[in-house]
Amino acid sequence: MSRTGPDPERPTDPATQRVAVRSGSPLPHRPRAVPDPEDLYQPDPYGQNLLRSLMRAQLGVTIAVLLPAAALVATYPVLSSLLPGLASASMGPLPLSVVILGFAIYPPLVGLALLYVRRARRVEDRFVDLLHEQ
Amino acid sequence: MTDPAAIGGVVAVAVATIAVGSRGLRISRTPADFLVAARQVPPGLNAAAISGEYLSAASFLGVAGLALADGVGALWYAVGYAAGYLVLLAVVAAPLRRFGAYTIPDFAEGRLDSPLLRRVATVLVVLICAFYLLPQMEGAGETLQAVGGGPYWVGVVTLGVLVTGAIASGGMKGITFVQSFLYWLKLLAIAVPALSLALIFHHPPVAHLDGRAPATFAQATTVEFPHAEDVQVSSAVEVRIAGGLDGAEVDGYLVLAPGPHQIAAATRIAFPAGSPAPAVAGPRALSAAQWASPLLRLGGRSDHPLAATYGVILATFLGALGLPHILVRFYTNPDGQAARRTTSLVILLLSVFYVWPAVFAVLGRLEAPSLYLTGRTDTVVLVLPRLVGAGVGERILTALTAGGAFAAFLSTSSGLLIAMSGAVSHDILGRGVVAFRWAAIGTGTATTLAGLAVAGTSINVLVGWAFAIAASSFCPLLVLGIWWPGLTRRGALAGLIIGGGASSAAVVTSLAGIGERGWWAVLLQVPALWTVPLAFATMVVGSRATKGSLPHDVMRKMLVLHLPEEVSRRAG
Repeated sequence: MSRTGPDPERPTDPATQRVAVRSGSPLPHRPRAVPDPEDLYQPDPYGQNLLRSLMRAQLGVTIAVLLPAAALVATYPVLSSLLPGLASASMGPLPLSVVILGFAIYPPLVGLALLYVRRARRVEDRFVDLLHEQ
Repeated sequence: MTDPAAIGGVVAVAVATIAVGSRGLRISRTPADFLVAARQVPPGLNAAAISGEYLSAASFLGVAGLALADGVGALWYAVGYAAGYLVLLAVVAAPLRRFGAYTIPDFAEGRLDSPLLRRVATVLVVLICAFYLLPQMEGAGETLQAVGGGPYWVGVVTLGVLVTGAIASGGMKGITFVQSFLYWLKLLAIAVPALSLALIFHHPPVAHLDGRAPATFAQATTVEFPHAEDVQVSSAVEVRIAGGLDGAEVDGYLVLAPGPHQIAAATRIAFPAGSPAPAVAGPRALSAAQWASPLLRLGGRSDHPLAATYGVILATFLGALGLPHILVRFYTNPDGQAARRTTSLVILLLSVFYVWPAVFAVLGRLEAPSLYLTGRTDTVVLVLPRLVGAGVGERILTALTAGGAFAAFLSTSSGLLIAMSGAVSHDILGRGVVAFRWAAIGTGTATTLAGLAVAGTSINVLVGWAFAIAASSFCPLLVLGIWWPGLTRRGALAGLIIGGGASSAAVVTSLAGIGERGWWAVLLQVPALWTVPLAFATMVVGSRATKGSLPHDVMRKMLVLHLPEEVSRRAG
């Protein structure tokens, strides 16, 4: 099975355009010929590209959430290692490390989770709209 | 010393669990039942059930214990236990629900059409569940030891027999309602004592550790000092001592006078019951600043703390999505989007829980220096109420924490034993109720016996190892299987065997006590650091090299994984 198909357009149907589903901004322009759900199950490059565009959009949302989480989590240890003052800082009566690892790190994680749920849903709603708009 | 309040707490949890189980929704864990239940379990209830099954002895006792012993850096375990669900949410939750596979071996076989891959996955399920079960057994042993006064094996055998018997007889089948009840119980049982101890009882700020009123040994205790220690004795106590005290060799009874004393390495001191514990000037050789460091200290030592920290982050963040007993629960969601909502709620519920072990670690540092002398830091959540106060309030709090700990062993070990017996009976013994029973009895007995051997190993470190093996085997299988059409049978097989094998070998080596210092300690005790990249690389390179073993209808499988139900229903 070829994974990098030739041109995504169907040679028999010149009106069909490459369809990309993205999160965030609305589609710049609607394709004139609307893809049909059945297209997805066809073994030709067109259906596969439809699926790939959905997977890419979903993976985009995944990365948009996991990257900030990884950055948040990965910077604190390395900063503490480089700056002894940060490792031994305190906040009121408590060490800063207890405040961060015991409490402050959790709200951003929950926030990112909620953000992911909303965005992933939007990607899927857009994909469904695209397929069912006749 | 037997603590009737604590025993009462444990019995109350058992009775309440049975009551909720017999009255609540009876949703048992066979695939058929899950299909029936699929549209009946709302995300809130499902999330509490997942959290209830997930919060084990490691979360309830181990995190606070390890943070007390090795410093605040151990709280990374708790952060990772919660954040692992963010990775699970963003990478596997909805596709796995849509694929409809019921267990990880089902996914391995369904995605890659390979019965051999399925068998290898089954072996890994058993391995991960076993490593996860051992600390539950150990937690039970230490809990009954701490509150009931019996020997260690009593708790291990009690839990082993109880859970094995319940599952083999077909009761306690991971009922959704029971598990969600146990989540709220565990939250209550750790939050109320932590809040009460922090707010009601007077305690000094962290900086003022010297000159504390001593804690008291609840039972006659012989303390062995592996290293030389400077201790502060606050009131005179008669002890039996063998070894070096203040520069002299001593063997026999003597009265320790108030004031500072130097104790030589390899000294043994026997304190009578009810005697005040000396405060250790440098508990496990950690100063206040060392203890407060946000980097992980392996065994209290500062061996490449940055690498160790990242190793634990990698294992816990990537391990949660490969836990065999958790994934099963995602099939009670009606569709992929509900699976996402459920997972996001799990992160919220776990975050609310993990605040409290940190509170216990801080309070333990202030109030329970005797735990450093006895090496039983894992019991801090259980014994802290007793060490801090006396009276009715303290009894209620002790009953709460003991009951919560019991709930933690019960919920997690039943989930694990079901996952393990299910895998063994389905793939090794053959299907059917009788095979499942024998599998439950066999695996339950084996893990109980193994649980007797792990006394004294940190509960949290053991659970961390289960995560490391999951992160080095099932994590790459699921991530690549869901997102990369190019994954082949042979590539996946090589990755599972090499990643799972390398991480297991590292863990067994550490358990045998080999390589406790320097880089060896990091590479063997937090193997995820190198075994996770190794497993991913093996699967990718192996798949590239064996394109012939690509399953034939990959794109159709990708469709099932990723297409929203709304589309697949209309097109199907």
